[in-house]
Amino acid sequence: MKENQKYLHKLYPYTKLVYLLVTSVIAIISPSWIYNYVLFAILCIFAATGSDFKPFIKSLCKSVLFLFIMIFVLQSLFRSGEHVLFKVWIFSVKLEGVLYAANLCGILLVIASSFILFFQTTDLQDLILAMEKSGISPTVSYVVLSTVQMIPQTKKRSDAIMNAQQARGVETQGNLMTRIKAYIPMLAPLILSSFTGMEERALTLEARAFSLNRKKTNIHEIHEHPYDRRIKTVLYVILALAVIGRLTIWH
Amino acid sequence: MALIEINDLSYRYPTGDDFSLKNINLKIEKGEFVAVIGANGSGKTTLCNAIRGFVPMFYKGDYFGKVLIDGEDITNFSMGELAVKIGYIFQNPFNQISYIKETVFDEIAFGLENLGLPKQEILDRIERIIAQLGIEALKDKNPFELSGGQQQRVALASILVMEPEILVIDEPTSQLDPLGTDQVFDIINLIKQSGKTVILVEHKTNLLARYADKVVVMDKGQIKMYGTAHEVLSNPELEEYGVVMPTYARLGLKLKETFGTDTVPITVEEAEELLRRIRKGAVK
Amino acid sequence: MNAIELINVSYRYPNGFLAVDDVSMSFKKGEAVAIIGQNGAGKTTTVKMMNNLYKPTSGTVLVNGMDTKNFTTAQISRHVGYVFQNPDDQIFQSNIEKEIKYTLKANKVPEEEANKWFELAVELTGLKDFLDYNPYNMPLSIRKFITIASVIAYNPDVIIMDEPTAGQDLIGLKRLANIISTLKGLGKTIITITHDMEFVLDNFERVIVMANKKKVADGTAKEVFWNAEVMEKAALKLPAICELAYRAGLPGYITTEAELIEALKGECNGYEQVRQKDSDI
Repeated sequence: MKENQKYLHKLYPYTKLVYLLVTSVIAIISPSWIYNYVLFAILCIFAATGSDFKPFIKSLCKSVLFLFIMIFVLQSLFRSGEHVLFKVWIFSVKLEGVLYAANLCGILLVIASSFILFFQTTDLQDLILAMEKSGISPTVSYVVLSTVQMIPQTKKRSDAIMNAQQARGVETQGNLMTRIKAYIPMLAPLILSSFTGMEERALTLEARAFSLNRKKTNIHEIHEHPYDRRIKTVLYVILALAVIGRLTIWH
Repeated sequence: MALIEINDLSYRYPTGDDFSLKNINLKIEKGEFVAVIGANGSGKTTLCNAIRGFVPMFYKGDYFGKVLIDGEDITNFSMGELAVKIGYIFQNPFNQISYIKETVFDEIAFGLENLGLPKQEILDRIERIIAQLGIEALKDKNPFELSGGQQQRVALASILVMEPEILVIDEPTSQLDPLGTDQVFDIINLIKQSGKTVILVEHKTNLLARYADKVVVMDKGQIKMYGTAHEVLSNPELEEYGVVMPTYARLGLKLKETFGTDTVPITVEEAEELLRRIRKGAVK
Repeated sequence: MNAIELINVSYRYPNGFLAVDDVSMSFKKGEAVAIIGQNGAGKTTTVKMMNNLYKPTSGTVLVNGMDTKNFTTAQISRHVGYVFQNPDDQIFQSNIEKEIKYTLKANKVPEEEANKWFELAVELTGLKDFLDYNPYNMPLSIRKFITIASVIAYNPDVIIMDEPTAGQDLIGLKRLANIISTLKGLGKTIITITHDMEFVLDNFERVIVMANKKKVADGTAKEVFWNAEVMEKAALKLPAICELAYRAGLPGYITTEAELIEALKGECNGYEQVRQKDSDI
C-alpha cells in the first residue's frame, strides 16, 4: 500500500467496504433526518483525522452540492403542504417540502460522502489486489483497471480529434445545431480507432504472458491486520443494533 | 539445427482476399541478427506475427506450412508459453503499455508477475534492466506521461526483463523523433552485444546496416532477396522492391563507377575507410 | 503579400508552459519549406498557429493578410490545410472516396472546382484503384495518404504536413516528393515537419530549424546543415552524405553524392592516376 500516515488509508479495502455498507444502510433506515446529519458530521471528523479534509469537501461539493440545492428549492416550493414558512415573490416555501428535502438530502449526503471517503482512502490497485486475493479472475481486474486508466486518455484523444477535424473545416464553434452536427466526426474516429487500439493492446498482454496459466506473483502485497478484523466486527454489531433497533424501539 | 525454421509457410488473414505470406522458407541461427525489409504491405509484420505464433493462434485464418522453434512446431505451445521464449516489440509505443500499472517500475514488473517468478527475483531483474537501459529517471513516472521514445524504451525493458532468447522487433522507431530513434538503437546495440537472436523490421536502412548480420527482403508475401547485410544492402535491386538503399551503399556504387573501387560500404565507418583508400590512390 | 506571416509570435499554454518564444517567419506562394528540430522544440505548436488551431498569446499571425485572431479555426483552415501526424484522428468514413470528399463538403468547395481537385488528389496520392476500400483495411502508411488526399482535394493555398515521412517506404517517399513538387508548381505553399534529413535534402530548398522554442536558422539546406553551431543547438544529426564529408574532411559544403564525388576527384591528385592503377591490375 502506498505511504500515507493517516489511519484510514491503512485499513484493508474490505474493511472500508463494510463501513460503506453500514453507513448507507443506517442512512436509509434512520427514522429522522437529524440522525443522518449527525452521521455526516461523524464522517467529516473521520475525514479530517483519518485522511485529508479539503479534497473530501471539494469532491463532495463538486458532485452533490448543485443537486442538493435543486432538491431543496424544488421540494420546498412545489411540494404540497399547508404550513407556509414564508413567501418568495409568488412562491410559498412550505414546511413539508423543507422537511422532505432535508430527509432526502440527508440520505444522499451520507451515502455520497461515504463513497467519496472510500475512494479517497483506497488506492484502486489495492482494491483490485484484495479482490484478486478473494479469487476474482485477472481478466476482470484487467478490465476494471484499464477502463479507469482509459478515461483520461480518451479525453485527450477526443481533444486531438476535435483539433484534427476543425482543421478540415468542421465548424465546432457556434450555435447548438452546428455543435450537434460536429458530433459524428468527433466520435466516429474515436470509436473506430479504439478497435485497432484494442487489438494491439491484446497483443501486448500476450507479449507479457498474461494468458499463461500459472499462479501470478504480486510485487505489491496487501494484508488484513488484526485491527481490520476488530473494526469489521464492531461495524457489523452497529449495523445489527441499528436494524434491530429500528424494528423495535428506534423512532 | 537452426533455432528458427520456417518451412513452406503460407498464410491468409480471415478478412484477407490474398495470401499475406506465400511459401516462405527461412532459417535463422541462434545469435543471428536478421533484418527484414520491404515495401509496406509486403508481409513483414505478418512474418513477425508468424514467428511469434500470433499467426495463427491469435489471428486464426488459413495457415499452411510450419514454423519450428528449436525443432518444435510453435503451434504445440500456447501463446503464453511462447512469451517466455520470444519477445515482441511493435511500432506503436502507446499501445504497449499495459494500462493497469501506475508506475514504470510496476509496468516492467507486469510480465514477470504473470510468469509467477518469486518476488525478490522480480525486483532484482527490474533493477538490473533499469540500470542496463539507463531509465532510472523514469522509474516512478506514470507510463502515460512519457514521450513516445520513452514509452518504447519502457516497452523494450518490459520485454527484455523476461529474458526471452528470441526478440521480434517490428518498426520500433517509425513513430519516434531522432532522439527517441537513437535511444532505441542504443538498446538494440546492447541486445546485439548480448548475443540474442533478433528479427528486426525497419525502414531506416542506414541504421540497420550497422547491426544486421543477414537481411531478408520481402515483396508481396514472398522472400525476394536473402543474404548477408553487405550482399543485400549494396544491391540496387533493393529499389525495385520499394526499399531505400543505405546512403553509403548508393554512394559506393557511384564510387565504383567513377573510381573502379570494388567494395561497397554500408556504414559511415566503411565509407570513410573507402574514401581514405581512394585518396591514397589504392584501388581495391 | 505573403501567404503566411508570423510576427514576433509566442505561445504560452493555459498552465503557464511557454512552448514558442518570439518567433518570426514568413512564407511566399509556391514555396516548399521544411521545418526540422527535436521534439519539444516548438515546431508543432508554431505550425498549429498557422492554421489557427492555436491563437498566439503574443504577436500576430497573418494568413493571406488576415489576422487569425479575428477568425475561427475552421475559417482559416479553408486557406491553410493541415495533415496531422496521426491519420486515425481524422478518418471515419466507410470508404476512401467518401473520406476524401468529406472535406470538400465541410469546406463548401464549389462543384465545378471540386471534381478537378478530387481527381488531382487521388492521382497524386496513388489511391485511384482503392476508392471503395475501407480505410481501416489499409496499412497506416496508406491511411496517411488518405488524409493528404483529403487536404489536397479542397484546394487550400497552404498545406502543412506533420511528419508525413514517418514509416514510409521508398514508394511512399517518392510519392510525397511528387506531391510536393506538383503542388509547389501550382502555386501552393508547402510546409513540412519531418525528421528525415535525406528527404529534406532531396526536396526542399529552404529549411527552418527550431530549438528550445526559438527559430535558430532559416536558409538553404547547405547553409543549415553545414552550420555546426546550429546543428548542435538543435541536437540534430547530419544527413548521411554531410556526415561522411565532414568526417573525411572534404572541402566545400557538400550535400549531394555528385558534390562529394567531385570533391573527391579534385582531391585525388591525378584522378587519371587512380584509373590507371585499376587497369594495371
